[in-house]
Amino acid sequence: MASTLLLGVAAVNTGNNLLFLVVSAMLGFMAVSGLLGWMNIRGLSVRVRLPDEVYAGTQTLASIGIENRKRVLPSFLVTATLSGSPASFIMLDPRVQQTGSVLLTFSRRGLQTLPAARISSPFPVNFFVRFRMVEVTGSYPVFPAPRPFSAPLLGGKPDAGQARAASGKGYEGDLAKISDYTGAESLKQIHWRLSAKHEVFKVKEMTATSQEPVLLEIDQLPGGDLEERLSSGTYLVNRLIKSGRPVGLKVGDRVIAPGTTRMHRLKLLGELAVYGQD
Amino acid sequence: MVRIKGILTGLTVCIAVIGYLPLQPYLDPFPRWFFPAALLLAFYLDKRGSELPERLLTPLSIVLFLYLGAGFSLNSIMQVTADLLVVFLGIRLLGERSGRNYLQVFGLALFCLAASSLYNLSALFIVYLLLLMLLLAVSLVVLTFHSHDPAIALSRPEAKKVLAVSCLMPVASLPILLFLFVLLPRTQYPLWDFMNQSGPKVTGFSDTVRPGSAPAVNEAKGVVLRAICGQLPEERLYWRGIVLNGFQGNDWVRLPVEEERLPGVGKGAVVHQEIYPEPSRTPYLLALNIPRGLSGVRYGDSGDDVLTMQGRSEKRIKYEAESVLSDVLAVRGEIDRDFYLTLPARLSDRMRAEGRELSRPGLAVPEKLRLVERFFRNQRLSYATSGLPVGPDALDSFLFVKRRGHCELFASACATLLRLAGVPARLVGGYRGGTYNAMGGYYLVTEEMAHVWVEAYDPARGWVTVDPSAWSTGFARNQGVARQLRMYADALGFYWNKAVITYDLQKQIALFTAAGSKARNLRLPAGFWKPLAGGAAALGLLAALVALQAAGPKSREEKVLRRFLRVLYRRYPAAAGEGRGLFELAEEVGDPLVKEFAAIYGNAVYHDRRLLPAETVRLQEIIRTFRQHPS
Repeated sequence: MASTLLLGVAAVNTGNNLLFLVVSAMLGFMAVSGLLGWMNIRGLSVRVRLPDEVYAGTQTLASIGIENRKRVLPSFLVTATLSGSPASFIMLDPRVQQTGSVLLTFSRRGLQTLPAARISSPFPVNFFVRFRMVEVTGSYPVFPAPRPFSAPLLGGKPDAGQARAASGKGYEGDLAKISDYTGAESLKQIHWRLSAKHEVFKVKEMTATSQEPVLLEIDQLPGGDLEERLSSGTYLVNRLIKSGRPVGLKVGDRVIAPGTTRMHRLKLLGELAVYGQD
Repeated sequence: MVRIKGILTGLTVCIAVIGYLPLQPYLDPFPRWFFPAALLLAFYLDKRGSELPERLLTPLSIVLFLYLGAGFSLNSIMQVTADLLVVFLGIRLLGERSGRNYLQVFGLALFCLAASSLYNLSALFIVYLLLLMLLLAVSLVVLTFHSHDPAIALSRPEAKKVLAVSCLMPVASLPILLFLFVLLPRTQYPLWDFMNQSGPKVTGFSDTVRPGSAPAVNEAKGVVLRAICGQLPEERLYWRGIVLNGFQGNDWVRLPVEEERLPGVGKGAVVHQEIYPEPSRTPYLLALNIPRGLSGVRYGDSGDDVLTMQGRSEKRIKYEAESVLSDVLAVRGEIDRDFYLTLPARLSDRMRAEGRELSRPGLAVPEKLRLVERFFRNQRLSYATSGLPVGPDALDSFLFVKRRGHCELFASACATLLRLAGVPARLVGGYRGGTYNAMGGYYLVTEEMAHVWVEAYDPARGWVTVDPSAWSTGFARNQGVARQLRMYADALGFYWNKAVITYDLQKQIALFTAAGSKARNLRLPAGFWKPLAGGAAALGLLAALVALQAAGPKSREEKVLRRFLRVLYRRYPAAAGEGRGLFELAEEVGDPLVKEFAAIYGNAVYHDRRLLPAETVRLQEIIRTFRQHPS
């Protein structure tokens, strides 16, 4: 930019038409590179896929997909930044979607929408980094942050219901199987070596022991305020179901019957996430 | 895989060389050799994977700056700057391969090319500029990848795409270049004009004719001028420059002429010329004999129709001339006969005797001219540019001994004889002939066409043009094939000068004024609107089609689905509405064909693959069935 200005002054001062040619060339080049940079970050759509389980205050690996919807022009050196976490793409071919991963943290529970993604690129010339914001559509349930506490319930005999065989997932047992990362698992559980060979993250699932059903009532849960009680509930739901005990939930007058399946657990956590936010 | 770093190194070397080459002939010896040496060292260092440390290069730059800067003065400002630019360019090649250093190489190369424009205005510049633009565009893009990650490597198809998009930039910026070149503001008087003066090669003819001063004439091939005008008969191509009217010893020189004798021009065809002279140190403005007036340049007109430029300029100029193709320059009133009858200091007896023979009383001027011509022809003088007579008695030797000479000897001898015969005579210096460039529609006049002829005064007519060289044997211009080929190259250079080099504020203003007045005075013929409206409608239709195409379904799958839904809603109007998927629709209407469509379509599209040809055929059959039986 400065050299264009300098040559421009030289051209005017000397009246040398060849210098005018150089300056025109540089200005033309700047205009075209500006246009190309503008086009480079246009026509990109962003899609974010969050794992099934996202907890407030906990880092979650999200997959971010960018599709270049332009017909001909590829996009180069695009960085998509979501909540301060970047994912880079060297080249996005037209009409092709590529995915990367970003680490996200939600501060609050509830049905959350994602902030707009910042799409930036220094292409074609690394003098400026152009950016634009792209809306990320969709809302995602964020479960309350689990609040660990110790209670006789966790270790003692069940008050009612039947004992079940140890078949659920846990942290301390043997390696039961390898499955896809859902977001619920601790990052420690991610099997990095296997993940590198697959498109999705793989986690190690351990065995745990199983117990009898429990019905949770939000008002009865430990905690100073509602948020703490919901956090305790989240902890309990996860802890108990993973240890094999069927868990149910009483929300106002509504009762969700105890269960141990993953879908059931997600349903309970979903209830806790949106509790009091209707 | 293609390593970005490797590409960047290669491109940087090319860019540096393109910066250096146009400046190379004008550099002092040290920078001229420093750059290739630095380039070789950089190659060696690159092969070894090392580079010179900054702590060595910075002091080296300072030392060389002081060394070259010591020669700085107002006159050498360009030279020192050019030398420094090239030396710094060389030093930068040796340093660390960082983004900043690459950018410095690019910038220095560009400045070197810009600096070369102050030395040389040839059309080769545009070739260098376009090449540099292309390489810079690709390099800057590659550098952006390099800054992202220096170790980055692209696959071949990826590298090709990067290259293609980078090449788009200089190509797309060309029209902007042309537009801006015309539009960028010019000033009437450049501030640093002195910087431009050292450059162009200066040509010009001598304002002294010294017969017998050299045994041969050096036939220089430099261009003198180009003049746009129609093709003229060869014998009419006399480009008038200077009139030599008196003697300084034996030499013909130009002495001041009295201003009151205003010449008139005789009858003849009027020829309009647009003349582009090469920069010259002489003030004489050339035009076809006999010029009647000039425009486009400030000039002075002396009594003998010699046109001189007022105010010195060694820049390229352009002017327009109007000439009358006539052999006679009429004179109002009387001329100073004694002045035009002065004789040289030294004359041989044989010439004096010949003069006496011609000055017999009772002979009119035309008869005397015929006698001189007969004498020349009888002497069987041959036209030559080597083996010329030399010494103080060169004219005598030319006429009676060697009998060979070039135009200066012919003209001097003729004019002297005429003066001896009592006919006022003078020499006219300029150029004779010209190569017509049919492609460009202009005459090219070159140095070797320099010519001297004679004007003899006939009281009844005025100054009559006499070319004694034409009385020689062997006076002809060679017209080789090579010359014809050279015309094409010359036409390129001519248009370059015409369009680019001489473009200035006046032309800019003229261009805008012309464009403005054309726009204001736009008068369309009565029948013009119909085809115009038709054309506009056709264009509009085309634009609408393109827009429809752009807004419509994009892929084959989408097109098929859209067509299917259209026929489906016709058959099942209740199913119309938003928010339902294809499978839901199939369930809702319960039509086996819809279910089949959904199954085939879903199996392909929802599994991220395109429809197979066989599947497309089946889907189209279903659509056709629906269309044929809408209910």
